[in-house]
Amino acid sequence: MYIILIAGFLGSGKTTFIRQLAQYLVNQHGKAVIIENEAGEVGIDDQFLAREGFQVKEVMGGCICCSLTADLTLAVNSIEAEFHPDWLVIETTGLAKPAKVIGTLTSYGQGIDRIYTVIIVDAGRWPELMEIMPQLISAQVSEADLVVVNKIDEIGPDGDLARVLAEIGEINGRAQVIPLAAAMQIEETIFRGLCLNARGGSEDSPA
Amino acid sequence: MQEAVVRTARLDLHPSWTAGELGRRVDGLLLRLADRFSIKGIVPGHIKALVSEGERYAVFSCTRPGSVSMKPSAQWAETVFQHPQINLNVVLVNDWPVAEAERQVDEIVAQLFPGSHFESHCHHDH
Repeated sequence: MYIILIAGFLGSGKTTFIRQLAQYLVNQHGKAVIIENEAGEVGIDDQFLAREGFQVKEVMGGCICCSLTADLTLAVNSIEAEFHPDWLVIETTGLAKPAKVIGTLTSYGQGIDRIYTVIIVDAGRWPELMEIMPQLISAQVSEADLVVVNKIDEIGPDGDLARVLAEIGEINGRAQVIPLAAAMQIEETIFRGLCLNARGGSEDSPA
Repeated sequence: MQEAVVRTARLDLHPSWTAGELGRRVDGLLLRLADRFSIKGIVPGHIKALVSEGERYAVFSCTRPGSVSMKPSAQWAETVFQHPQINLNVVLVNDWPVAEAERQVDEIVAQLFPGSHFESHCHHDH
């Protein structure tokens, strides 16, 4: 089972990205499961993705990077036992630090071949968020295998995509960085490349 | 560090609302909340709502004042709503006192949906 861990600040576009990624995985492999972790007792993203027709397991009422590590372990291991999916997509809360989630999965997860970490960054709010929450944003970006610089269509007239990309490169020079606008249709080649890298370079197997 | 103010309601609309009317009202709710909670021209978090009735649904999302995005299901635009379910999540960082954030959310919800009872749900700090 390959895990794609999707993290990034609140409202950066994680669910919008996952909606299209999951559709690609279903089309290519026929089976993909999503774990949704949201703050609060009533979820929105999990219900939305379930209504879109995806297999969703919700972990609610806290964060899987700190207070709900046991719930995350139980969810991952029960999904592996019950469904044996090729792909498991995990969406964290917007404040999660991926390193802690990876630590939990590495220590206690069963049937995991690889974990690939995708951080979604809100290009439109980048300067303000780096001012308000620099430690969190940097901690998230520094753990990425892939940084998706989302909402590039929302960069204002005074904004500067090149500056955003340069600052991300300073935080994490080894990650692949892809600028896009997930509200539009994301090109399939991006998901193909993501899956290839998530599998450690081996080609996707057909459904 | 994080406050999630969660409110849910099942509206009882007489007369029924078109998708346009309902969408404008939810849009207005998120815009008012974004105005109230924004700092430095952005929402320091995420304000979102799922509105549904039967098979029809739409997600509304706001991360900066003056801008709400919506993802509707098929046939949303042609639907007339009588008992739509609204789930509202206002997730904020930057040390908003919980009680004050809740009070302000409830005040704006009451202005936009007068007479409707919105239930409060547990929130959790990060």
